[in-house]
Amino acid sequence: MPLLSLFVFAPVLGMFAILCVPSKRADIIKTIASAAAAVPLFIGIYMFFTFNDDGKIHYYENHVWIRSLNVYYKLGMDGISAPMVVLSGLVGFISVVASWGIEKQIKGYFALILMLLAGMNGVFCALDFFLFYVFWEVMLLPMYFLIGVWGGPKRVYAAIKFFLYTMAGSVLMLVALLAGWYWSDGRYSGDMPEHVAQAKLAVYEQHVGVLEELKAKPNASEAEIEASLLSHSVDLPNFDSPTFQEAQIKSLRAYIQKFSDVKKLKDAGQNIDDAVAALPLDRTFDLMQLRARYPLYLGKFTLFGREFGFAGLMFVFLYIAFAIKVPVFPFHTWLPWAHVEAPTAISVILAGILLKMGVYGFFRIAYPIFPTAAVYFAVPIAMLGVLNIIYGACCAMAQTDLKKIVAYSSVSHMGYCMLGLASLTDQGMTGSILQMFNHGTSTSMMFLLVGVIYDRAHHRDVNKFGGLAAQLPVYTALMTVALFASMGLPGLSGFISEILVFLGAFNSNIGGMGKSMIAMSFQSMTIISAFGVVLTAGYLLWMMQRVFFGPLNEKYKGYADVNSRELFTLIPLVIVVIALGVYPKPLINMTQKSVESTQQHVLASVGIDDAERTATKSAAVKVSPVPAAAVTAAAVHADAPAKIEETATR
Amino acid sequence: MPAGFESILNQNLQQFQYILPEMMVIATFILALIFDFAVPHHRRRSTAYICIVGLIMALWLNVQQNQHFVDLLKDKTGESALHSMQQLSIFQGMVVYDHFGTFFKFIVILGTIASLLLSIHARELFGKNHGEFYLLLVAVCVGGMFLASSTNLLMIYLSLESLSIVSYAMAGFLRRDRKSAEAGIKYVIYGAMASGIMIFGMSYLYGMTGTLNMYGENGIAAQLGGFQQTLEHGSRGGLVAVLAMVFAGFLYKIAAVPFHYWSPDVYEGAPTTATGFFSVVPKAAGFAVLIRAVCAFFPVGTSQSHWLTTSAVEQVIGVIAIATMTIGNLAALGQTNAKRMLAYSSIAHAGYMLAGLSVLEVGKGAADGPSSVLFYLVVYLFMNLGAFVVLVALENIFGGTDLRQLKGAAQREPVLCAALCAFLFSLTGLPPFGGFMGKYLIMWKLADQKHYGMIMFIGINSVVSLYYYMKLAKTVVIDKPDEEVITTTESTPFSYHALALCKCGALVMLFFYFEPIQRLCRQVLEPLRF
Repeated sequence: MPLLSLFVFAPVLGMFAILCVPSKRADIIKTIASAAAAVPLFIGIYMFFTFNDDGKIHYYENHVWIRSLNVYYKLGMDGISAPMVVLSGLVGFISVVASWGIEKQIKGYFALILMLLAGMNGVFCALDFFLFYVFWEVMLLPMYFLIGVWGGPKRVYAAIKFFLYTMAGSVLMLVALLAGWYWSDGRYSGDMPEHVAQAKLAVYEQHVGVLEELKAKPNASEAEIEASLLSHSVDLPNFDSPTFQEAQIKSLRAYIQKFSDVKKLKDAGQNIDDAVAALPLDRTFDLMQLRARYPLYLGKFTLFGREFGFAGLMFVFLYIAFAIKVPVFPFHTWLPWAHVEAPTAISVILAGILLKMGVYGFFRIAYPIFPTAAVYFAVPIAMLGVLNIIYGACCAMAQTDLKKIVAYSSVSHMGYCMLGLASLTDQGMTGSILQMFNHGTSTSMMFLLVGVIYDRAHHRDVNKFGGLAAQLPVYTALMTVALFASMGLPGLSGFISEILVFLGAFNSNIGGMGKSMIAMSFQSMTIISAFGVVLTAGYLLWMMQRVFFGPLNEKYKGYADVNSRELFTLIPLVIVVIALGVYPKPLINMTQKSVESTQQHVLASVGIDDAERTATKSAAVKVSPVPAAAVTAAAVHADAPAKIEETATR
Repeated sequence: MPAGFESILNQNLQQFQYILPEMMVIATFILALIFDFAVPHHRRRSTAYICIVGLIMALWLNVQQNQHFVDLLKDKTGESALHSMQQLSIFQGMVVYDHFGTFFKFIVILGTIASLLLSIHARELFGKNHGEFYLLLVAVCVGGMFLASSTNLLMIYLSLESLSIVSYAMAGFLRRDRKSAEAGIKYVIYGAMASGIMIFGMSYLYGMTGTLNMYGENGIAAQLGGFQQTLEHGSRGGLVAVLAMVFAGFLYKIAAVPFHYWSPDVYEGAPTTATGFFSVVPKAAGFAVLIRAVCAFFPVGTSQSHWLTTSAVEQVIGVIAIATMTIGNLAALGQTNAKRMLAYSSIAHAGYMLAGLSVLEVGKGAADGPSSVLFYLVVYLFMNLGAFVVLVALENIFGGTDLRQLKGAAQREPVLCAALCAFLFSLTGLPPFGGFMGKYLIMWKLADQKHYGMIMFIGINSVVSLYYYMKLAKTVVIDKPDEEVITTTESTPFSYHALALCKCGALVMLFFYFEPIQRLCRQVLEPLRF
């Protein structure tokens, strides 16, 4: 069963069903919406209990979409997307249920929210860059209206600001997408034959599985060959493209022949260099293939008459595109507006899933495809992450609007993800993924709880509350769990991810640009960001004190405690937060292998063998020279240091 | 009577079979004209139905003549059939019968049919001899069809004028309305000026080459190609100036910067139905003649020896494209009238298309800018006319297209406004609509030639355009209705809903399943390659 297609398109089916229901039948609409959102939820739960990460792609689906542009409909899931799939299913369903209280234009609301879910689910499953981009954009459209129509008083401003920011990022991503596609056949890397050969070898290795399969059935028809190629994530040869015109390959059989020639030579133990050089290389959007073909991007190109390292510039473009979504410090200003003005359920989706798309984009696209640049920019990325942590926490402390506090706390918490990611250690990167998941659950809880109190008090001003603990005991208890989880208290989910990020970042010693620019290592950054935890505790506890303790404001007497629908949305999150706090192993197992493979891929691109490093952890200091070409090519300006020091960890 | 004359006459009479669709439209025009005189005033809506039936028949004839178009859309087998058919010069080289022209005839006829459906129930035209308006639409259609296939400078001029002069009448159709009258006069003055410059240039071209035919052994294209780089410096400058004058006329028709000044005022003043029509049909016809002329006058492959290198031409087109899209978008930002906003946005879209035209390298595998322009025109036909369908329907209700009047229109017309949002998203270039594919294909061709700077410009412009499109979307969907605006109680005719939804469906189709159309666009350009 195409599980992931169902995961992505069940909400779309629900959307069409809703459009057919007359708008007066609110109950039917809500039921359909919840049912459509429950499908991804069940798939997410199923994945959580069955998914076993081995660093490979599972639940793979591959169909031809646009043959002439080499665009495929490829869905798949590995350890990096698995936690996001679970999170997306969970938070998506909860936000649909949390929207039952919506009274204005119910039909439009639920149709749009389902479209939003489809877009987000698609982003986490897409393995084709073009498809990824399409899902990424599809999600903007419903978000604009969900904030703009159902939001708070400043909703129009918030919606357009969100839309413009994200669109600006998307445009940069589109440039990277197009340029990456054109460079992916090695035509522009002609002066680097060894890189092209490396990429071709990677393509060949993908074909080995197909060759084995085809050997079993020598009389396979063209259609069967096509099916085997697709099932192994191999792009079909595109006969329109110039590479294949030149290669004079007119059928799939001949295409396969080229590869089996290599295999024969290799089996015979002969030199395969020449045979590999003769292999055809077609352009592709396939993210797995682009990852293997990263050496092709180490060339230079000209823009506005200046020469740039291709990988470096494209990485910067992708960085901005994803950093706007995360959001990283200078690009974060849309977030407080969008979060505050959006209706509760949409805030939950924004904080719970949408922000993760940015970090996920780094894991899935920017880091694997431009690994040398990722190493080169490690320190600046980490610095911006630290800035996020501290700046977000300071901003949160200054707010009096409950939602704004939570919004800025998101800015702060996403900084941990960026720090862990930039550290390029397995602990740090695993911590980053875990932090995404845990922040998704704990912040969703906080937004839901803020929504609960807003429904009753119709304001969110921290200073106007007080003593609610006496009036709303259950509510207070739930809020306490959410706050402590967010603070990173041991025993709750936030703790384990933050500690992993800190450990990873402290151990990291990746060089690159910042290493020579400023004497600032990951250690000092980790220490600074650890203050973020203190600040987090500060603003959250202070908020708690102002809202829940002290004398009870007379106005709030007689407020009902959390009702059953609200409990229904909150309890699952509480369970997840506590369970993963006590026993985070399932989540770590779910993601670790894929994260490690990504990390090793990135480090290997600059010549650091991480397996070796782990083996010699006790060695004092080891300096390993790095292929100078790799690092300088990644540099935007070619004057980068050519050495990367590698210090052994504690 | 000399024998030669007789044979030419016979030949000409035989060649009428190739312009059957045009003849059909002309017949429709005459029939509708007589009908319009004959019936009483209040029955004149029927004229429109006659026109529509006639145009559909013309469309059918067009399909019949080009069965392999349909084959090509179905699968790849039609490709060879299309290949075998190259250009057929008819009427002594006055017009040419080729797939490029046929393709544009489809666009022009489809656009006219949609505009006719649009104007049947347009309130602004009631009681103002609206029968004549339908006739004018059909007359422009004839001009556009001939313009798409003319290859003789005189014929180009004639069809351009028949297109323009009728357009002037359409722009000033609401005589009592001051803005409409102003639009008509402005259009005449600017148009006459542009035509004057163009025909002045053409006269020089005739003087230099001694022929009016573009194609053929001694055609202008062949003679221009013959000029070597060694052309004397002074005469080269003169030639460039002459060509600039000729192209100014074409660029005027597509409202490219700096020949765009007429369009916002004309678009705003003209009846909304006419504006929708202007923004698509004459523009498409203008692009047809522009692409034909560019491909003929600046052939690719001879770039070294040619007196004007291809890259120089590409650069000029590129600069015009950037200026057009930027100025169009920036001017649209501040508009408070939806019609005027869309007028500026259509200038910007001409800029995107010109950007596609700035990649002239045609040929298998290599960048092929013009084909992406054709694809964009197809998408643009649906999305821009779609936006105008909704705008006309809303104008019927709210009595105007000021953003103030359109506030909260979605409460009155949810389906139409949802469709409008889809059109606006498509115009911005967001998936899942055809507009994204159109822009993507143009950028794709640009990336092939490493014009990354140009791609950035298109990207930035898309973000800028997003703002004003969303302003319109916000006005109709999010804002509260203005109590003071007087609205009619009449319900919107079903034809508007049907038209808008059809166009929406087409746009989604063009996103998911655009390959056949793209293939067709590539193939119809074959005959223009030398």
